[in-house]
Amino acid sequence: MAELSLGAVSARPQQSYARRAVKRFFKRKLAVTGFVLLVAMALIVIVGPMLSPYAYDDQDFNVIGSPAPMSPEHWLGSDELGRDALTRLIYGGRISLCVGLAGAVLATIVGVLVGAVSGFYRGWTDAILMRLTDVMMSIPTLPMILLLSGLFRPGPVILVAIVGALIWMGTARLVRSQFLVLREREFVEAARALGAGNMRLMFRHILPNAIGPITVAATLAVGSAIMLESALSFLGFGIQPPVPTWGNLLNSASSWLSTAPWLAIPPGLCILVTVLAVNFVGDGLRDAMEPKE
Amino acid sequence: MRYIIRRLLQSLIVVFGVSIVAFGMLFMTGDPTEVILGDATDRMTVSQIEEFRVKMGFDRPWYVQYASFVGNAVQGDFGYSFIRHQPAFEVITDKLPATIKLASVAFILSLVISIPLGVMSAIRPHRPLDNIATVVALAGQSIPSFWLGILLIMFFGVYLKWLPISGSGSWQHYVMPGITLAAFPIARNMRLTRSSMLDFMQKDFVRTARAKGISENRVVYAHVLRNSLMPIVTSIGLELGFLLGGSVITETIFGWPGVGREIVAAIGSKDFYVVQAGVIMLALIFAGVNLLIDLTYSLIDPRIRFGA
Repeated sequence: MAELSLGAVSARPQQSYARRAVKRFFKRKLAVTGFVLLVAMALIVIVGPMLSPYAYDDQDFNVIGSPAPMSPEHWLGSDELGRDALTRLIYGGRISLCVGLAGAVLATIVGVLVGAVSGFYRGWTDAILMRLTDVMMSIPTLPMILLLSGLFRPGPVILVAIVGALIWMGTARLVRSQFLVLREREFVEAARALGAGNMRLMFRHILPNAIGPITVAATLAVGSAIMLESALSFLGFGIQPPVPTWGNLLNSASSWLSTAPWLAIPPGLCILVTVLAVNFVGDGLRDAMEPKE
Repeated sequence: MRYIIRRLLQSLIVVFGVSIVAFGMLFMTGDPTEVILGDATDRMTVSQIEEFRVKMGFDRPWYVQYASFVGNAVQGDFGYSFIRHQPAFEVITDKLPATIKLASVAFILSLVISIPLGVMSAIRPHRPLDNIATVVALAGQSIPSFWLGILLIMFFGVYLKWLPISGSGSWQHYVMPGITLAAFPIARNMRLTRSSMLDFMQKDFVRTARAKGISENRVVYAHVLRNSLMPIVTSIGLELGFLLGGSVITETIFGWPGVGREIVAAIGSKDFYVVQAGVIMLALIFAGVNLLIDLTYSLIDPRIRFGA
């Protein structure tokens, strides 16, 4: 009975809050632009490889030997092995976007768990977890990640794990600070008085109230994850050729800068546009979910 | 005083944690002997490998190894690089000046460009200049540094032939790596300056200053800007850490003879002790700079010493 009425009270304002946030979000030009760009990008990388007459590792023996410029057969040219640059770009986008998305999801889960436990229990638990977070933040990310992937020669799954393991700290701090404030509020006390256990308090009562900032952080994490994966692949430690990603396409293009500059433009432009779009959406979400600002 | 002690203690814990991680790296793939020897194990007999294991002390329990690792590291001994034929610590310290020089150039560049632009944006918000600056800043935060580097090389190095595309030496060598490294901090500091200025413009003391009838210039520079710089000072610590760590990519693209490129090369050749020394050095610098900044900050702003 008590359970029921509590649920009803908390459910109603939340729904309209979400609806209002969506409305506010779609009023912002940049945020909508970013959103549209991301949807378009997702569609292209899903559908594109099906439409292309080439597979990502098909070799065209008419243009093999050195990179060929744009032509009716190869819209963005082809690389030194005669592979179609556009097909590789789109296929690489699939991998870059998937690794970015999965890495961000993983980082958010870890960050929320660490932050929630830290902010809820406080005391020693908090001290230990936060020092761990500090340590992770002080370790130079890139050398560390390079080393890990140098040792493990990662496939996509391990790569996601590595990326996720190195970008959760910001989210953890954010969630912790939210929990520290929210745990003192009356509705938590009320739920506790009604006999809710710690797990229920943390994940059913407090967490939904912190969902705004977490969503923003998760969105922005997608950008960092894509950036990190590209950097890694660019340096030659990420996903290995012949499988293309935007990062390793840039890596191979960098040996042909003076003779085939057209190979180096599209992959970087794709990373830039994607990360920019993600940041637009993130900023838009922040404004939409925290109207006080 | 209590704040200072607490802050020092925190740094110590961080350094301890970093040392554990750096030490643990060697064991992450299982047998450190195989990591160090690499492909050489193919040409060695089992007893030779075993002999090497004992000589390196890998047969001891891990806590004994950790203790000797820390003991040696404190004395600047991070092991010997079999590839460079030089102590690992020396390999890194030899490259440190180049990295610090490049990071300093990028750091100064970022402050000199970002703060004036941020102030200009904040003085006339939502005007064309501000809108352009905001879009440029957003792009600057989203552009992958390795691509920016490649674009610069293609345009100024290959096409115009104005600037050297790799190496170090003359001042021209600093231009492209400096810009590549500074792009992100420029964008971030600009947005930070802008939003911080806009915040302070609303404050009561600014209204009072205007009411007193002092010139708008003085209000902006003496009252608003001075206060707005505080949050920027805080982010400087993180910034320097970013510049030193981010130098890995920039140094690799431009063939800059610094710590970052050395670490990448060492990972490629499985030169493990050099990687370990490099990671620890970068982390120590990062922790040290942050400590210094927090302490200075607590001197400038008494609220930090007494609050919280």
